Amino acid sequence: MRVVVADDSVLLREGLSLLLGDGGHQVVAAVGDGPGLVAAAMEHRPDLCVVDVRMPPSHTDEGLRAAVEVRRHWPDAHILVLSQYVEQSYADELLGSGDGGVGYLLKDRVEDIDGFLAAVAQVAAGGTVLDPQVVAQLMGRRRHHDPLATLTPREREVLGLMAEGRANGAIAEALVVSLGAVEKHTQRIFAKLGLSPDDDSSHRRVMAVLAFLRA
Amino acid sequence: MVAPVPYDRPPIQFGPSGQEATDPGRPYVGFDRHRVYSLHSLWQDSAYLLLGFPLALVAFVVMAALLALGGGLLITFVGVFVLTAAVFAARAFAIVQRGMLQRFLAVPSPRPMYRQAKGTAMRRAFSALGDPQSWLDILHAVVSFPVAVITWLVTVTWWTLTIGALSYPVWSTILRAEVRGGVHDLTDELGLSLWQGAAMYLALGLVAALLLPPLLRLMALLQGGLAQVLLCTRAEMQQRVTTLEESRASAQAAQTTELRRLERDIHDGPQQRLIRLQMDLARARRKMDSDPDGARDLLEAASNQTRDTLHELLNLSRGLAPPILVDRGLEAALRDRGLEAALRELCVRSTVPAELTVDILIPLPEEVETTIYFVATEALTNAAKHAGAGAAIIDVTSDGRTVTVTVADDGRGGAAPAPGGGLAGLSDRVAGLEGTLSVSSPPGGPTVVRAVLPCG
Repeated sequence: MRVVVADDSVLLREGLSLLLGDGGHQVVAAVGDGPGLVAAAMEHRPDLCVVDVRMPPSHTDEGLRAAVEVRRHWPDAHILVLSQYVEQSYADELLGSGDGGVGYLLKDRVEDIDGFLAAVAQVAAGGTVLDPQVVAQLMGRRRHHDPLATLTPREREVLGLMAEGRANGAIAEALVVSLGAVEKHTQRIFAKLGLSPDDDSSHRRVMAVLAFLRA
Repeated sequence: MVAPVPYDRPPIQFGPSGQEATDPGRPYVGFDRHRVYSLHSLWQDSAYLLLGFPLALVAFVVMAALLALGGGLLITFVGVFVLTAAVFAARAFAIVQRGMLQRFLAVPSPRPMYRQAKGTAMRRAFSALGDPQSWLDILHAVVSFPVAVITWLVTVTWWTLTIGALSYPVWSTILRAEVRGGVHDLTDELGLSLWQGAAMYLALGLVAALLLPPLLRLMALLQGGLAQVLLCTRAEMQQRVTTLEESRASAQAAQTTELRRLERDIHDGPQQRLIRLQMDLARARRKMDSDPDGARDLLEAASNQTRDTLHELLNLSRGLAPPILVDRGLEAALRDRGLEAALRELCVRSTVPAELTVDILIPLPEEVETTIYFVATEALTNAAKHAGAGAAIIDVTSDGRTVTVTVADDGRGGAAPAPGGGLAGLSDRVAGLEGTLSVSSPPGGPTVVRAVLPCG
């Protein structure tokens, strides 16, 4: 796969390139700021962009701005955003910028290389990936009458994995159960929470779950 | 070879957050002691005392009338307004009095902040009546009158005595010639001849003249001192409070800026390295079986990365508190040796060769020492990074009340404190200790950074 890497730190640009290289991908461009990313994405039209949130010139959410910008000109752009801290608003903005093909991970997630490469593949294929910590934060919020209380612990696990953007197959693998069991769980979850039956699109499923969790 | 330190262009003073300060704000000094025996002082004192009396007289009369009237009418509403009129009248006199203090006696007479109130006349009246300075003004208007009477009498009498005695020969001769029946004055009383009389009066006149300036000065001090105490002390207090508040604000600003800088430094440096370390170790783990040599290389790179990270962290912590100062500062016995040793080490480590001279007589408070160290560090860093200097000098001297640190380099100059930058942070720090920072850095150089800190 052809990938564009954007990070202001030379160390990390290099590290990510090597990592992606190990995974059999080709890094066609490595840039260090927001405008650079937009230019490189439009020029090379890669299968995926891996972008750091904090870049010059603003050193705040430049990467996010650039990602949204790229998707405005090229809606099919697949972008994986890496961030050092969990920022709910970044996740929201990214997910709202289109229909799938986006991901939001914490930088120390790269320590699990296989997981990282799997997320890369998923986003490049058009799926949606959300960092488990982001999901955990959402699920951990206390509400008046906790609707999640109606779920069994197993169902909560499945809900969390759904929010991370995993497909049923991946959930089955992660929990070491059969695909059929997962499907039954998801149906029960949707029924208990009063959500409409899930689509095939992982992105819409993620959005639905998130919308529910955030409400 | 150390660059000379020309200081021909006046340096720019910087206040909190690096803004240019036009008035360094001298602290209140008190009576400016002109030379007692100077013609200028004599005229000024005499003018002050002579003019002071009519002013005090008018003020007293007006005040007495208004106070009596207002006090009597106090049972009704009108009384309040009359008293308010008294307050404003006293305020007007006070303003004139302060002006006279300033003009004739060269005493800085700051104007206090009177309480302002908007709204109805009642509200304004009450706010004026509630302001303590108003009552001090009234008190002064009343009390200064008897004092003015005394001083005026003394002034007039002594001037007359001096001029009269010195010009005795002139008017005595005229009188003796014109007045029928002759004149019987002191000369005749004592049975002296005319010449002897003239000599005596001359002697008297000279003594009087000699005593005139100090006597008038004493009178001026009396009257002026009263005015100062009643009319100006509140203003001084207010000024002091404002200065303290400003310096506290800059200290806080300095701290915030530094914390933010620290966060950015940690993020940009050690944090990135550790993330890269994570990546490399994870990749090494993966390669262990398939490519052991590759894995070994990665582990070695990871080892280097760890060492670099440690260095960066050490440098960061040095920027927070110079290690030598922390250790030695605690030992009261070693006192200034701590600062000098730290500065010496700084010069040795500096990219730009720096020469150090230290001349401190008394032990300095710890925060002053730390600030001096930071001024030196920042200035040297700028000299190396931005000015491309070839040589620098650091000079630290103290005169007991203040300590001055000067850092000069022969680089290309053009330094200015950018908001959020090192120089601005420095000026915040310095202002936080009620010191002043000035930077003279014309384009083309040389650059001179000077901080003056109180240490008394």
